[in-house]
Amino acid sequence: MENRKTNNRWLLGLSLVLMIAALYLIFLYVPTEETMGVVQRIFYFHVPLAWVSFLAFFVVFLGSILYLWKRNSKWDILASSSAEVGAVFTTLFLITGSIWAKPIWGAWWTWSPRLTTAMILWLIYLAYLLVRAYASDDQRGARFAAIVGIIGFIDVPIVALAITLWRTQHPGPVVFQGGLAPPMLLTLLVSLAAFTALYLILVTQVAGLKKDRDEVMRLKELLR
Amino acid sequence: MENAGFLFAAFGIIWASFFVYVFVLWQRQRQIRREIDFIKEALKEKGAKTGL
Amino acid sequence: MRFWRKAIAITWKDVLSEMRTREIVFSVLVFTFLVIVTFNFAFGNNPGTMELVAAGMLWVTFAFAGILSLNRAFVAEKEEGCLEGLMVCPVSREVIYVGKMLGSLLFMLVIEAIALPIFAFLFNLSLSLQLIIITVLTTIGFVAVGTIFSALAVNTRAREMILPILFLPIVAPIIIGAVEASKLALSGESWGAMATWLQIIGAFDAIFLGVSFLVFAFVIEE
Repeated sequence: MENRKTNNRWLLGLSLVLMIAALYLIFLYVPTEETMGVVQRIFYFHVPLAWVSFLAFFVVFLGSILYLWKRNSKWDILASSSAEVGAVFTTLFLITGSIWAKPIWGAWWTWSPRLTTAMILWLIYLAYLLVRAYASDDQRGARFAAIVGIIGFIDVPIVALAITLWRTQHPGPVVFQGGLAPPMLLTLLVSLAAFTALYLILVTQVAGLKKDRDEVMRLKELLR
Repeated sequence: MENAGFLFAAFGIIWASFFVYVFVLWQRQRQIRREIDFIKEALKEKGAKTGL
Repeated sequence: MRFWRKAIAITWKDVLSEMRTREIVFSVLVFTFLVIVTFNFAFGNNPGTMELVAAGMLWVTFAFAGILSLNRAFVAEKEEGCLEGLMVCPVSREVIYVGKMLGSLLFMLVIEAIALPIFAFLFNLSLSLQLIIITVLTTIGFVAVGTIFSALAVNTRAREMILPILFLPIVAPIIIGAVEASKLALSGESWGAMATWLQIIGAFDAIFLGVSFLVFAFVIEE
């Protein structure tokens, strides 16, 4: 128990430092981009959110496989926690993508490859969570969700490929060309690290909650 | 500084969303704590009754 | 060989049951026809629009018809308790998967075989071998994942909602592929032009037939 708390404290501290560093870099350090102006700074939030969305789903994938294989509920807790947090990140990924699109392309939504793939990823997250919620019992819910997690994750690269191919045939808005200058790369990486740390904190919290809830259920059964 | 409003909106929404989410988690945490205390009480009573 | 015989036995059971009740094929056909007619109201005024939109219309129709058909795939099993019966027999879970999948495939192909000519007739399109191949390949993809999702959805409390939300995002890539390839096929392009799309559909089919095959046991275990 104590180990868990110290680890959490370290993570929290690290995350705070990273976030503040990222904020400094994003708003004060990095130079403004010429074509898009100040709005371009959304990039430094948008990309890390995207990264975590995919990372979280990868964790869902791993957790699902491990759960179906070992049947230890800790894997299911890992998968479902990562799915919850990942869904939040994906939603924000979509929203920031939309907010970025509006001043640049004049429309709240463009069916660009990145946004469209994000939409599909979001839907797969939704499917995962709905299957858990609507299954006839918890055990089944865990199993079914694991299956959705596995199939969904395998599907995502195929979706990305198909959509990108499709969009290169019918070119739409191109988001960001050109390489990354060193200051931009640094800012992006720090922001990436900060959001990843945030993801880890949130997943540990949610997983802890689920574990406690399971424990409470178990104890309540004992009381009867 | 044109379009700065959008930058603010994006940042604001991100921050607000995480804040709300953390708050929701905190509420859930409190509820679980309450339930754990309740169970501890109930276990004590049960122990007292059966003379454990 | 025993594997295939058992799987075909399950498929044959479904086919016989369907031939007696005509539940699936008939109702889905009617639905398909109605969707086609409705699309005509949406797009039919301008013949130019029709050409642009035909491939998309075709696949939206087949996607929704597919959902309807797949919805039924496991309902009988669930309601009559046949699934338990099947599982007690010495058949592996994979046999059940293949059997059900082939059954759904057959039904969908029958429906498409009737719907495609109707489509071509009503909208003055040219059917070709290419279109047929595209349809068959894509339908295989549909039933590969659809069968497993159907088995899953039937065990939830909201099966009519769960199946579409599982199915549609996952098959998005082959819908894209099918529409693009169909567009090319309807304009009479060569096989080479649509090769990439066919490869994507083919890869999808192979990957998800494999994955579903491996994972199906986990859906119906008790």
